[in-house]
Amino acid sequence: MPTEFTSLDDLSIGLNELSESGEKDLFYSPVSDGTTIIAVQYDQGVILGADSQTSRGRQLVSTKTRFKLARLHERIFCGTSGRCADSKAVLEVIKNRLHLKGIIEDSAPRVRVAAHIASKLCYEHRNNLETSLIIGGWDPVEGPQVYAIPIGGMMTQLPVAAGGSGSTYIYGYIDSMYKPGMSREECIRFVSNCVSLAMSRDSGSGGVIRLVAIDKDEANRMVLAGDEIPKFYQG
Amino acid sequence: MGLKHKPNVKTGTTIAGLIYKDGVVIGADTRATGGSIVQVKDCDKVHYIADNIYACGAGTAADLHQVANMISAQIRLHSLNTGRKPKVATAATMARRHLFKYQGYISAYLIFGGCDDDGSHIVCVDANGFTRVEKFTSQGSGSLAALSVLSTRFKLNLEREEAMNIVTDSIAAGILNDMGSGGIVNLCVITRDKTQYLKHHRVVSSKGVMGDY
Repeated sequence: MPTEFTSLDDLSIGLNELSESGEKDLFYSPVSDGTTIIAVQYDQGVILGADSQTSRGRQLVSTKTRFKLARLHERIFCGTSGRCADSKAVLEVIKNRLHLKGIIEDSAPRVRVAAHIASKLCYEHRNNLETSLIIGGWDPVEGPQVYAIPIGGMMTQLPVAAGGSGSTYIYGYIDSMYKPGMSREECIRFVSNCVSLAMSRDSGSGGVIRLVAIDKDEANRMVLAGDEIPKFYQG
Repeated sequence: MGLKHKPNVKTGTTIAGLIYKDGVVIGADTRATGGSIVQVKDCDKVHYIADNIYACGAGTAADLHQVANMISAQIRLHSLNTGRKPKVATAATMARRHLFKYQGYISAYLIFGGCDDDGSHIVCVDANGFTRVEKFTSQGSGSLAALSVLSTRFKLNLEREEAMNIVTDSIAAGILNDMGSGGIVNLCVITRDKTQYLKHHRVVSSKGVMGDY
């Protein structure tokens, strides 16, 4: 019977030679998100953005249509980067625990709580996991928030957070273009520009731009594909 | 001294699958290699999971057989318990949880294909425990060759004949261009009402016969 997957305690260790296949074939290397993920907080809500490409070993594109912005709760979404298998496993546990917390406390879970659950999990298993998260959402207590949880499990709240391999190429753009007090449309444009610029420079990022706009009333998922992706100097 | 025998039978493999108008078509080659020696020329890589779910596998042959048998048994029990036709997502999730626990040491790369009450699905499961849902996909050492054929010819809502031809041609591309893949193309066509396992669907190349590829 399938067992409830609520803890990562049975991560196996000590099975060194289960299969003798030492060869790290290209086709048998772990799938990881090259990735660009970014989240921006504005007065009424949060905008999250991500690309949609995953790669295998930095050479082979595994899929071009991945959903990297996972829904943890109605108004809480999480962008993941790093090894895909680890991201999926971690998200499953976080969703489960967050849902349980919501039932026990009989109220919608807070973004801070989601981020805390995530960072605790990532920290406890920091030796075995290779995934970094950006959690963004809205709750009635603290309003819009963005939390970054890099590899290792540190949690920090920021107004704008970027992660993944593509993020390194856009720190300059973020620093120069981000202003506090932007409107929703300005934030969406900012996030789309960031992901587009990263996609054009990072080989690990590509595909389409996925956006989630979260505020008090709704969590709106959007896609920018093909011609809709902002264009810049192609040099 | 003699030849050092490599005990580990791997399947080099080309496996592929796609969703068409009425269901799914998945296919595989039939070569299993141990190092550079072909250990098995007619190896069955299309594994039975349930009447409406089959899985193709790439990776270490022993691991695949064990994982496929285990998932098949668990799915049977699960469907008896729930009283419902099993879902492809269930099989894929069971595989994922098992494989993630072993952190990639169980070398099983699977393509689950099937039709259930939610429609037709193709789900790829990696040895590390990553699942993705696709409309067409390929795995294994011949995956690039197969993917090139699939990417070029895939369209939504294909007819059955064309879908079977596309998958067969993509496996054939793997067989002809990848040294780890060879033999005959095995196909499995699964629709809502019927599952057809077409063993030895197309012989791609035979000894002494010139092909026209």
